Amino acid sequence: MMCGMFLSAVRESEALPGFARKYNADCSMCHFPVIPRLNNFGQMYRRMGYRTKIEINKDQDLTKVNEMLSGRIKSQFSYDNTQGQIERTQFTFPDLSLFYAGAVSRNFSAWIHAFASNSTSLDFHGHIMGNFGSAENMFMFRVGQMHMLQQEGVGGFDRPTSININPVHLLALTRANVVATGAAAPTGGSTYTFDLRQKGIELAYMHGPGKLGVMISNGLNETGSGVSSVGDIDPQKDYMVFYEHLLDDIASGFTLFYYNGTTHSSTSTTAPRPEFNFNRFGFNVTKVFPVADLGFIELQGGYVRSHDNNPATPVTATTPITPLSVTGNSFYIESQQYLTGYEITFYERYSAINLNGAQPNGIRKDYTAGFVKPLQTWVRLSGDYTYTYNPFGGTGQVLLFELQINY
Amino acid sequence: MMRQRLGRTLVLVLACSALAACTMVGMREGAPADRAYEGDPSIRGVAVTGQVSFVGAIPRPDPVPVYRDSDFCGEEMPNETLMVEEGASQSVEGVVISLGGVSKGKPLPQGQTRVIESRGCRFIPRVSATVVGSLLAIQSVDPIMHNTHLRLNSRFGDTVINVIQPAGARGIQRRLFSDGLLDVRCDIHPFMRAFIHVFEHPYFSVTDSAGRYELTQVPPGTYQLKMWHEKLGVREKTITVPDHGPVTLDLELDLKQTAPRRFAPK
Repeated sequence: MMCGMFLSAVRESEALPGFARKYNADCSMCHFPVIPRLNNFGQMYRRMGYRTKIEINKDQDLTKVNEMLSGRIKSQFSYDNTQGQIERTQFTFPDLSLFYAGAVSRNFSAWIHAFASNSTSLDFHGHIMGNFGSAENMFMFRVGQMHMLQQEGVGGFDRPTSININPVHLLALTRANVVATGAAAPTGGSTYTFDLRQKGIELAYMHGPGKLGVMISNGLNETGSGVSSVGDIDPQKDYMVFYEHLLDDIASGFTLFYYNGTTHSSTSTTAPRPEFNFNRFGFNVTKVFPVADLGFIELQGGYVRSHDNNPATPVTATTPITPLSVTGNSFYIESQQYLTGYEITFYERYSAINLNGAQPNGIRKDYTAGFVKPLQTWVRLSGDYTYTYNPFGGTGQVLLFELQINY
Repeated sequence: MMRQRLGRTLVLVLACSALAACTMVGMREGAPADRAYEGDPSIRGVAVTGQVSFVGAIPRPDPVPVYRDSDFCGEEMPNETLMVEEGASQSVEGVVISLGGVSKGKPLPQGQTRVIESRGCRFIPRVSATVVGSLLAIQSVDPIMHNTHLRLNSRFGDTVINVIQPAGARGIQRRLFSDGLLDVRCDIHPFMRAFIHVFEHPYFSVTDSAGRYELTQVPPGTYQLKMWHEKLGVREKTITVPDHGPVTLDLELDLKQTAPRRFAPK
């Protein structure tokens, strides 16, 4: 189960060689330092609906399917030693993906991602984009199913350089309270994470390197995942307001965000189903520094303040509710070193999530180090080691190697 | 127990990282190639000169669209894959002429430095040649970021040098340790291309805008003269160099012949 947990916690990533075929380009045109992490040109390309500046408001040639179709396979080997779990090593095949994406007309674009992950079941998500205006001033909307900020934002929200086990924004950032007596008590703190593929709409205005947007989504459903095909759990919609800004032509940028969500603790139509809302706000920032004769050093960091108002359990006659609010604070700092001559990137990250539980030293801490090396143009090898201290259970370490091919 | 496991795992991670780093170092620096060529200052050869002309109707390739940084570079760039001078001569620029099978001759030039510059979203020069052991000065004067990525033989070959230069970055130098055809690209701007031929011997020349080439101090003998052009491919011709010269040898290229573009320029 633990392996399943950490594998599911490994962030997905996309790199689309179809676009490279379209422009006869190398990965560096859109990625830094390696696929799938986007550089700021890649960010602008995605913002503009998979168009370059000179393609805005121009007709698209849809006959060249190979320029919109891409595939990805990942194969991994891991060692997992987590307290309370069996120690194991294993080979896994966590991802097989098919992408069909690109601009389909003067103003509209489409993104389809079908994927299988360690099972025979196939999942998919996709959305339609509309872009209107010029490269300097553009209105954009997306509707369908999409990630929120994670994998879609800048300043540390973007796609990972690494395999990236346990990044802060992929984890639940609050915890239900433990009452003073020590008795277990209201569970049901928000399971919201920024990596959820939410169904909804995004409206954004882009001016130069800045993008101001709002996303309106179903929010969490009864499974807490926010991604199942079942609809929303309530009539209210979640919303997020964000601003992101690109700082240079490498990959520096920052994001400011505020998310407000509402959910209910059950889907019962007869019993009371208390409502609670939650919010997240914070920032992410990254800055890339060129180092002469060597490459680049990048410093990255982020902070998220989380608050769940009245996390509630289902109210029954025998278990009266004791709603309590919970707050979480989390931050991370990361450094990356891209050695251009050797074509290798090293990274180190420290993250802390203060769940404000009743336990002493109740701060989850993750220490991560790893490397990424492109073996050939569209093949990358990466290794990632994470040690996790988690006072709420799950202290342990994971070592993971991954071979990824995009074609 | 947990601490021991952690220690072992950390050692494993460090070992893998070190192995990867060492492998990369080995790939990048490499060992100087075994020199098959022997320089002899006493050898006095003759000059072989000539002009390379294009035969047939000159193709007019479409300009290359600029997808990135079009504000600075312009929305399209001239297609420079085949530079043929208008007029009767139809001389071809950027043809690399070299001799094959030379094992002994004039000494290799020492302390050579070739410059490749990113200027106006182009590599200058587009085609150049030098000898093993020479320095390559990589510089950019554009106010945008470029990288100069040298791979062996083609864009899919092994990386020999990769230098990324943001706006204002100072130039740097790298030594060319082994011979071969280096495919040079700016990965950020895929329309930027160049080629550098690195030879083990000094008998090579790159045609200028008038299609002229010159090989100096060629020892008498029979050689395979090779012509390389990025679009027209590789052609070979057997030539005999007499004791006394000079020798004038005009050459022709056309689109009809097809030949592989890659070859090891020894």
